[in-house]
Amino acid sequence: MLELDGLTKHFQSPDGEVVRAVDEVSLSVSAGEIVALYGPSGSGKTTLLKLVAALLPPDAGKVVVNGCEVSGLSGREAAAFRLTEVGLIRQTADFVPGASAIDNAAFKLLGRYRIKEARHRVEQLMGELGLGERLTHRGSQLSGGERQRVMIARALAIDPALVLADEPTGNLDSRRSEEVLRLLRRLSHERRTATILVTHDPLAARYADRVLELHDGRLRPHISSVASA
Amino acid sequence: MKLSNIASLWWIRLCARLGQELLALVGIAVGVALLFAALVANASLVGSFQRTMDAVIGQARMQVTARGGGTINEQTAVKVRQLDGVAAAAPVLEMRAQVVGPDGARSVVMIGVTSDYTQINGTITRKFAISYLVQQSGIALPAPVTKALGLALGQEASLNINGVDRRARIAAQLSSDQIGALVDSPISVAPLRYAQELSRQPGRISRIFVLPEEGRDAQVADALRRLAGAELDVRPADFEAQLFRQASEPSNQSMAMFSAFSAMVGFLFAFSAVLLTVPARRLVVSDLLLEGYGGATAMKVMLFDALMLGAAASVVGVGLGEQVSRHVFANPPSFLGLAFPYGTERIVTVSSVALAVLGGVVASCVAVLAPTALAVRAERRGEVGLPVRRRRALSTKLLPVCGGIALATGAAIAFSAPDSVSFALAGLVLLTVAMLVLLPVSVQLLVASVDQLTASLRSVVPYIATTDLRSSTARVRALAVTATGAVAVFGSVALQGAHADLQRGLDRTSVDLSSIGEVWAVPPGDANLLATVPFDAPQVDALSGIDRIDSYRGSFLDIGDRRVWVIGSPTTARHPVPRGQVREGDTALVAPRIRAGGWVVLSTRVASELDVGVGDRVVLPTPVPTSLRVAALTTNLGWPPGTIVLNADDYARLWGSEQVSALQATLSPGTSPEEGARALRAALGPGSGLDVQTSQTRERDQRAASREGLVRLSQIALLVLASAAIAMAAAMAGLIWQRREFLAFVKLEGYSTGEVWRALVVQAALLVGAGCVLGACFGLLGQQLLARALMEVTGFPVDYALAWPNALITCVIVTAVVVLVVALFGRRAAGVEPERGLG
Repeated sequence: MLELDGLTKHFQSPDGEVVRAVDEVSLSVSAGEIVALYGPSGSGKTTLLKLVAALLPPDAGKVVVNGCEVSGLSGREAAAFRLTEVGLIRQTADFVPGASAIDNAAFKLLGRYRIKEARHRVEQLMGELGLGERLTHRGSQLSGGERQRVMIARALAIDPALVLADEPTGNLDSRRSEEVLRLLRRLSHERRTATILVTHDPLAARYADRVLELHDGRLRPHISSVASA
Repeated sequence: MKLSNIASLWWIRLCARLGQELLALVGIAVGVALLFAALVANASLVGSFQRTMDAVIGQARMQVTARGGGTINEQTAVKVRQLDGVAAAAPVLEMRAQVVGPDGARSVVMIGVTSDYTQINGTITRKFAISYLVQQSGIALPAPVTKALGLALGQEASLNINGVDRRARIAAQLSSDQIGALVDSPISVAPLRYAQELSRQPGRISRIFVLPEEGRDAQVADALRRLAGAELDVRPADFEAQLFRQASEPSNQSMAMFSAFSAMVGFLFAFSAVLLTVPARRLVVSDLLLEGYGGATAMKVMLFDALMLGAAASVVGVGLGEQVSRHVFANPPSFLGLAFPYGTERIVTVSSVALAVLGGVVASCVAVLAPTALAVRAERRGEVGLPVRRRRALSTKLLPVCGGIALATGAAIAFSAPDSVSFALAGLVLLTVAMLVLLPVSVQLLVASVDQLTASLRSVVPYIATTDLRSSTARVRALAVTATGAVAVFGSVALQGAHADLQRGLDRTSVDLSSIGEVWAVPPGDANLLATVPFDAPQVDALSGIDRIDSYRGSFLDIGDRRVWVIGSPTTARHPVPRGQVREGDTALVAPRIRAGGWVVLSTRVASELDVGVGDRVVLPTPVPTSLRVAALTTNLGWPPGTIVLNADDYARLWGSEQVSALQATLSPGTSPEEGARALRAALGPGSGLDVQTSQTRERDQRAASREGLVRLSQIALLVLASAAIAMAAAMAGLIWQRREFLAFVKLEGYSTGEVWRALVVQAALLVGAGCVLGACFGLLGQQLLARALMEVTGFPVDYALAWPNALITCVIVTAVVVLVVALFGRRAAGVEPERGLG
């Protein structure tokens, strides 16, 4: 589903030093698989996500999603790729201002479907996520866990090939974190979605199929998960 | 917290969000500029005339004048001087003169003086050696006038006085060092003897300025009254200033009304601009409270912010207003110059500056502190969402009901066509309140309609375009932009509509007045547009193409504190009273009664001044007081202080003079006005000193003068509109700039730059368009009320017509301008990098 082959991105720091944010990373994630990606701050996790989401062009290597190389896409093509193939979940639940929970979940469908149809399409998913009674609630009327579940609904509403989750449990307590991770794992498996889960949360390792660590731009097996294995 | 620390904190935050603060500053500055320019224009009109009068009357406290604008015997001045208690008495002869030089012509008021004039110590003689001029056979003119006319010192200029051409030597050029601000006034000074010679009025004067000894005013006044008898008037020396204040009052009141609108729109500009900085300020308040500072400290910090912003914006606004005042309101309305000499001097008073600055600072304080106070209260309670919910409950239930009641009451007043100014103004205020109160509901309906209309579209554009209107936090800012547009268009449509109604009424009057005669012969000059300069009628023999030549007589007559325009139509005039201007009285009987004589028509204000009605007898304060009956009451025919119409024979009887103010020719069938004018011009000969005009030419000139009288009203309406467009564009740009994070998020989710840009353009069109349409609808109702109020204030004739084409054009232009600006700016904002949304 997702192939990263020798993916490299270097930056130049203000003092002229070359920072190897992502250095020859190769990775394969299959459909329905969840890969948890650990790493300290500045290890290149976010840069890697940006490269996969076609937000940044790589210096070398390539990103292939569903057999299509996305690393060389133009801005317009990259946008279309994110709209149809990538579900994004972030640490802060970015609600569309003033929009209801169901409209937020259906947001990525509005470019392809009439609004009623888009809402209808996400209604069942919202029910599966336990939000069936909260469809018309606004962001300020939902708890943190509920808001994050709406974000999961938005990411999965388009039936994406790939979900990129950047610290999705960063603002949640352990009970709610577990609830969100469990849902994400279930839906990824059910929908055959490849998921990369960038996190610091130790709980995530329990729900991931594979756990990796990014250090100085290079990918390696996560030590604690290796130890526990 | 110490003041220095508050200042440091302000400076740090200012540097961090300079762009947003600049937008807020522009918003407040625009409001201050409008207010300041209107205040200066008002102060300049009255102030310029007041200064001219102060310079002319000097320290004199009384004056003796002839009734009905005539002249008195010069020997009267000798008798006045001999009265006990009189310190000085200066005889003066004033006359209108048209000065012609190589480069043009200019109407001036010529003042003939003697060396006695130095005793009353007017500005004219303070630094200018009058004794030198008295020895000369020549006239003194302000240097700018001689320069404009291409005249040099010692050169001879052509003068037309009372329809007679003369030559006079320029004996002195008066500089601003000599006569101060009077240098911009249309005056000329000449020795009394020379002025009498030029006007062929030997031994005659028009007034005597009197300076009583200290503490003997009452005694001197009594003595003067005994001396004056029934033929002369004894008045305060500054009586002309009283007359001018009365005459300019309608103009000033109209300007005041417009200034109030400007201030209101300006405040909304400021409010919507400052709202852009509210999130940043709320953050500071949160931080301060979190760090343990009290609410009072937070308010102090914000007050410092508001004062600095208000002060800076006021300085910029006053500077901007100064430019508007110099370049847009540069020329005062000239129609009052037909009866009063005033210049183009701009007068900036301390109160104008203080009011404008105060307005700016207050607007800034209210706009900054009101949301801050809410934030402090919410932070203290830890209930950030509560005020929003309370506001929403209020806006969804109570406010629409209040708005509906205000709208119904305002509309009822509009349709009842009230005669009272206060009633009409109350209606306008109610409509403004109703519009602002109903705005949120209207916008909610708009969002629902957009949802309904776009339900079948497969596009994210309408959804993004309406997000600000759905969000409780962003909606206030969006509504502020919409409200700015609504108020500006409301004001502009109402003002332009009322202005057009007045203009149509005045245009019709110009046609009616000019058509009294088909061809006119009058003394030349802009100042004689109303044909009020008397002259001795020349003998004109029968002419081919002209059936008849009649005498028209007209002048100004002071009644109470009004300088009234008197129209003495020929007894043969078909329509001696302009048709359609009669407000009270039998319209069918008015013309025959005036032609028959013994009857007079008064404008309503003059009638109330004299306390008479239709059918009553009235004795006018003319040189030969005679009883006449009131045939009808009319509008003021476009002359603010009021008018009197009678026939030319009655006029001659009342003034005791056979002099005329115009010759009117009635053409034979088949003769064109141009042919008639040529024939009359030839018959009068080249040296007649009279200007021959067709009724069409006079109508065109009068129409131009009346337009000029109202031009400031339309200038202000346009300025309000232009400023609103700028303020809305700036506010929209600020709104968009603040949403860059959201736009990045939308792009991160996969929507294209084009879709984001289209959403921004649609959002601008919806917000501004909604405000404009709402403002235009209310503006059309407001037009009815404002036209009523202006008609009552000015007494002008009004011809109503719903100004919907103007409303439509205004909506389209304002919306188009703002959308265009947003389209250009939005292109840049929509280009935000999507990864910014990833954090």
